[in-house]
Amino acid sequence: MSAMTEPARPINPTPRPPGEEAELLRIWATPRGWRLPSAVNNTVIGLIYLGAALLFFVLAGILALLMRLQLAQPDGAFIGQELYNQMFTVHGTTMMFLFAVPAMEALGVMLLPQMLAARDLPFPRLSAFAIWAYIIGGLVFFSTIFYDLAPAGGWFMYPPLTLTEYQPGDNADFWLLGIGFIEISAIAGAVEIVIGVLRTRPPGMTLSRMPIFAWSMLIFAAMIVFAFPAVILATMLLEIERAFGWPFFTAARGGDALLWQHLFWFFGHPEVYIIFLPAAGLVSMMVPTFARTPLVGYRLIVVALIATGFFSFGLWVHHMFTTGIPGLSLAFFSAASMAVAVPSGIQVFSWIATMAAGRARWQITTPSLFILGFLFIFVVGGLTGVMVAMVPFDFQVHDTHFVVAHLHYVLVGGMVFPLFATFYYWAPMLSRRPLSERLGRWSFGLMFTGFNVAFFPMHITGLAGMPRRVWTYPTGLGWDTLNLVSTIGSFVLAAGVLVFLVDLARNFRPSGKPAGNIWRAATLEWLPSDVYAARSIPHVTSRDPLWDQPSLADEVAAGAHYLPDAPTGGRETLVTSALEAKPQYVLQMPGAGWPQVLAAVFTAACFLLLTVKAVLPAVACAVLAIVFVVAWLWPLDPGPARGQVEIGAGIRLPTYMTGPRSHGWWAMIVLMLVAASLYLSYVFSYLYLWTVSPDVWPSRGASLPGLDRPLLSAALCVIAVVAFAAADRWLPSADSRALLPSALGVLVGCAALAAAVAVEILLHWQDGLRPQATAYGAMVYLAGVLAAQVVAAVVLMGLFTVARLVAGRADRERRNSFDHTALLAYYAAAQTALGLALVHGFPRLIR
Amino acid sequence: MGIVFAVLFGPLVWAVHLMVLYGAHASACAAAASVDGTPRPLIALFALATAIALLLVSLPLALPKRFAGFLSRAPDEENRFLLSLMRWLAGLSVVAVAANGMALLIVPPC
Ligand code: HEM
Ligand SMILES: [Cu+2]
Repeated sequence: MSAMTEPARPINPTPRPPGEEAELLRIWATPRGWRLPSAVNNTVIGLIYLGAALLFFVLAGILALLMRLQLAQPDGAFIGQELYNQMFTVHGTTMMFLFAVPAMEALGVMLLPQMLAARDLPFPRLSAFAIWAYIIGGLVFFSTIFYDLAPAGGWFMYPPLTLTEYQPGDNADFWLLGIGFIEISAIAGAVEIVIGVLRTRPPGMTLSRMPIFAWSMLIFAAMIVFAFPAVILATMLLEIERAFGWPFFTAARGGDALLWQHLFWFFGHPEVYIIFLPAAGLVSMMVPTFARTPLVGYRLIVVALIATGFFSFGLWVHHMFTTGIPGLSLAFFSAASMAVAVPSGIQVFSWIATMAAGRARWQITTPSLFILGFLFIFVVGGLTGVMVAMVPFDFQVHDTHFVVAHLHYVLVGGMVFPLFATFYYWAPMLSRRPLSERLGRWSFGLMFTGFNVAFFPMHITGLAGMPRRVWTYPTGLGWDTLNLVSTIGSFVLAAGVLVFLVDLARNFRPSGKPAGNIWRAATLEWLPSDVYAARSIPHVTSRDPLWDQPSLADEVAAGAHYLPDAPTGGRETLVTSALEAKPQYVLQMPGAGWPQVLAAVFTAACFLLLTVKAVLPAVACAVLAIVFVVAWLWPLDPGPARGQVEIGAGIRLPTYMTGPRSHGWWAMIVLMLVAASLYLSYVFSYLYLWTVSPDVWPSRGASLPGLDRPLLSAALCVIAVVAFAAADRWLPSADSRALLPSALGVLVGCAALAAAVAVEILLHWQDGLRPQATAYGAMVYLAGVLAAQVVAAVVLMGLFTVARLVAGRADRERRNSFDHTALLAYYAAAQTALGLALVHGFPRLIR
Repeated sequence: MGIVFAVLFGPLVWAVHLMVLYGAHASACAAAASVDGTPRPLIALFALATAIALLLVSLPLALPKRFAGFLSRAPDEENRFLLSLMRWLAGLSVVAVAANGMALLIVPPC
């Protein structure tokens, strides 16, 4: 019998024992009042996250309106040039980094566990940490516009304009440190999402039964893992150059400003799809509901999502068509840019087919209107995208308002409209009342009209030659009327947003007893739920469980499915296998608490103090941040003490897991992928600068230090690996106190890694190489910096592990903290060795 | 892991192909700042790399079952789903590899 037709069946006897639900309510209760920030429940912090993203949308939108006022007439005198520069920079940066990506991650945090009927994400405090870090960092970044401290280099911050010579002051540093920091928080969220999708699905929800939104979030998170490190490295390089004068981007000393563009767009192009894919996933969830038909071409949509995820990494150079790169690069990336329209086209056709299949039943509602608006606007944006992918056309319109029109059609069409559909569609999942259909339609009408009136004319002004990023323009160029129309349109659009906000204020009331499944949708987030999520975790047998198993909602609410109680007495959810979703173990999770909030506060403070070069207070904050991280991690890794528990249907599962099957191990692997992509970006930068300025590289290895000390460093790396492997074997058993050998192993391993890096850096220093002198020197020292960074993390984790060994909180069975440290240590050894090979080997190979 | 690798095989080949071609041509152009016309060895490299890549990406298309032998751990329905993901992705990768390869063979490099 195929798995598809296996009967849905209640698993546990009902009625459930009295008091069981009360116990769940007590365990999952959300802190109220001033304690709210300590909450970790995904619906609560997800809502805070989404609210913050919406706030940034409104703030950046207000800046946009002010800019449009300035551009309404020729020779406008409302905003001066310098302020205008700061405004478009903050507007673009806020929209991209503080609104679009966070809004999508917020929806992941809020919706994913509900769609997977998990009680929470696997690392609740990590999401809370990421969210608070983002909110604090984001607010400070945005507020710079009020103090004339805002960066003015455009949202992509190209050097040389952003070097200290041309932008003295701290303005650009707020961008570099602020945005770099917020990207780290985005990566933390991505780790959470990958593990959540792969490991906390309900039993029976195999990959082929996963809701499309989960697929799109999986690919979204994977793309963040590979794309964000490139821009993090870029911001590191630029900040180091600004602060210490290492010439990565200064041509006179062998740097190259184009390196920034490569790194930035290797992130920046995928970024567009990072924003679009989750939105597409949301649309794929809503369209079947309104068509009352299963999604047509589920499999093709998954293919399209994966293909877009991959291929979008092969296009970055199309942002650099006008920089004088070789003709071949032009052809290469032009062809690729047109080809990537194919997977997006597949999705659009799938949606249209689904609508067509259900056209007799298609419901016109506010969300479905927003979806139709999305399709129209996004397709127009896609068409102008193919136009600018053609090199001659791009030469013509590059840096004009045509591009401003194109990018807003793609971003607003591809992301804002689906997001508003989402607000209207999913509000009843959380709120006692749904949002108002009447106000919703007004909002849609105003937004759709306003958007097109505002942005369509920019295609024409752009073709007529109006550059982007100009604070004013003379009259008589044929741009006057069109600009006025644009400005009027943007206010109509804003009115639409305002209507939505009014609707929100009047009708949105988060509640434990939400309005529920008013659309009669098919997926699990519409199960009856409370703070503990679904009452029991369902056994899933198809893609549209609520349609195919009409009694499922009642069974789940009665507690007839898995884990209707809290067998360990704390917060817990089910971990299942990645492919087939077979139950594996019960994950015990932490509840509300302050350490992750304080850690976020002090991490943000540390970065901000660094920005204004208050080094000592920054160090103090870093120490405090570490203290609170320790306070947060110390109670985790509970060990196997609670043994096995029954989750229903006679299935008994362990309550503790270590090794490659554990969710923590998976998270470490993802983190190592992040570190590895950061390092690959570095290797690329090294080789790239060499191709640009071979003259500052030592030729044929002349003037390189001898090989004895690099070999010593390499040997130290090997010693570190051996030491950690030995510590692994010597981990004490639970009842023995023989912890000295393994603790020593960890300490020796850490010391060897630190020594390996120190030997290498010292060698170059004594050899007379200086990072400020040439791009070559800067790159050599950067390898040391990157190694030191990972090794510092290993040392901190190593000390933590030793402390746990001493405290009797780690042993041969209870070993996750040791395992994670060892994994990172092996990675650090490998990366350091690779760096040695590059720095000492490569110059010996070249002529 | 094996499963992920098989499903993503087409796009992975595409990625390596892109890296080799773009890397080779960008550094060749940097090294010989002004080469007139396309240096023959470069063209040969492009053609060879493209041929190999096309051969590789067509493996999952031509011999899906054998190629994805290690998928058999999954139940039937899952297996079919993953196999078809693999084939579709390989198919799209053929198009992408061919488009990239063609661009390099037609246009003079620097
Ligand atoms: C709410 C309606 C919006 C209006 C009226 C608006 C208006 C504008 C204006 C006037 C500019 C500056 C054009 C120039 O002088 O070069 C701009 C730039 C930009 N906008 Fe928007 N925008 C809106 C929404 C968005 C959204 C939702 C996003 C992204 C999700 C976005 C992303 C950007 C970016 C990336 C830039 C380029 C900034 C730069 O040149 O560095 N905008 N927008
Ligand atoms: Cu792009």
